[in-house]
Amino acid sequence: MFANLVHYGRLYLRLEAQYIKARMNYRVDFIVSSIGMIFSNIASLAVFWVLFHTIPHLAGWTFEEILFIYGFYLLAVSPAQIFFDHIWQLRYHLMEGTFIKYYFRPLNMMFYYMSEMVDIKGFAQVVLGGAVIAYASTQLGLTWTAGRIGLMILTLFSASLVVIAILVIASCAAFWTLQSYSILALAFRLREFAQYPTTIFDGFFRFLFTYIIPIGFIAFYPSQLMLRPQEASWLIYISPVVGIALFALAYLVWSVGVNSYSGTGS
Amino acid sequence: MRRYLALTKCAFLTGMVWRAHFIFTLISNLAYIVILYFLWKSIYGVSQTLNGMTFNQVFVYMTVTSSIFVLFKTWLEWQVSRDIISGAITTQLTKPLDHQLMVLSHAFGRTLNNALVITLPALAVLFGIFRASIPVGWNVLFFCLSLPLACLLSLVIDYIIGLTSFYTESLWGISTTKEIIVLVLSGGLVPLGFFPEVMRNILSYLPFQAIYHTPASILTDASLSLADYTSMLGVQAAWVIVLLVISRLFFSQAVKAVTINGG
Repeated sequence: MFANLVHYGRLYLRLEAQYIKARMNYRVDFIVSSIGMIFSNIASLAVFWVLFHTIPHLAGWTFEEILFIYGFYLLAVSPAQIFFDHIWQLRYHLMEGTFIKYYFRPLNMMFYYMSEMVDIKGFAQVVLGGAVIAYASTQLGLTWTAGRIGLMILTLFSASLVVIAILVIASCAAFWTLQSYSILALAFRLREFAQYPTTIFDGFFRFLFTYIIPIGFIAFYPSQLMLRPQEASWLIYISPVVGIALFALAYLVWSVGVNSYSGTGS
Repeated sequence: MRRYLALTKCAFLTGMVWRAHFIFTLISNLAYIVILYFLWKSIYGVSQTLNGMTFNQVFVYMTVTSSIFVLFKTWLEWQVSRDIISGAITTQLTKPLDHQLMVLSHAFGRTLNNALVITLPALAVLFGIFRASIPVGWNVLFFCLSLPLACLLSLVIDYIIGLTSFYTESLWGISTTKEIIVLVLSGGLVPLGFFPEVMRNILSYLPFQAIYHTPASILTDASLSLADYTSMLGVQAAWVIVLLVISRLFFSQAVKAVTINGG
């Protein structure tokens, strides 16, 4: 098991090193896309900034606290963005039959498929997310004790698994419909709910975003634990389980999809 | 004219094939309206008006802008870019049609698709389920007049963005940046009335507010006079003309730079 992990880890680093070298031939593209990435995230910051000119707090949360939640959100969505970006191409591979090649390597198929692409502009998002968290926690006077850093890493890990799982499940629709773009775009949009306090939603939607599509676990519940532990519900303590369970479900959906795909016949 | 209408019809019919796509885009737009509702509900809290707008006005304004956003999303710049990069543009240039009109009429067909399948249902939900209300009067008429102008403006900007592919292949970054700038500066994410005074002044000199802010505020604000409405439409029309001229100049420059790999 352990030897296996090391093997895959090494392989991944090697594959990505090659991939990044190849991409870096298009340096301007990298810079322009990073600018686009940063812009699309700054837009949300601008919205909060404009809103807090008018209101003192949002559902009881101050500007700095909302920034913290947003920073957490940026970090949580980044692993999916960087390491699982190839999901957007799945429908082309399935339609054109090029997906067949992934069956013929002695490697885990999900690993092999996802390793074919890293989204380097996603790193710009990580930098921005880190900066936002750093700014917000300084403003809030948050001290980074070892315990809190550990907690942050643990909750971020499970939050990113939630994001990855939701997107992978959405992209897997392509195994059956061959057209998953709009489903994926819907999932991508649902992700945006995560940047607001889940408490702004009432009854049905709060239930939906906590238990059915656990978007609240992407940023709000973990941030609540960091910022206002006394208000945090017991739910957050099961968050690592939520992340792992959801990822396991996504992996199951992927495996069923992979086994049911019959190629294009060419 | 009839030749271009044929293109519009063709794009419309092709678009109708992707039914599943429309269903999910519709759901995603409705989901977005749900966020807007709860977000603005909690922003308003107990206050009646903020920056001179009631909750109902802001909610209608935001729903209209987000529906317009989906309405105008025709992937025009991607189409232009694909044609330039693949070289298909060379055959298009030999046709006895104007390139810009050709692209625009095609995109217009897409807009009709969007209107029918996404925007109208979204508005039905807005007024049916959320029981939002708008003042009915001249504003509805002027809204219907300002929408095509806004659409044209948005499509022309997309066309200019698409033309950058003559020089660079990194459309994703350029197009994303454009989309965000337009959304933020035109009131697509927060009503312009919420912006600080200084910024609002600056924004009134830019073309972007004519895309989302003008139609949305015409529809929600009943206190405007006929003169206000006509001057708002005048500003829109002026921007359309300015950008059309810019885009045509840009096209005639850019087409000289065309380099196509092999063939």
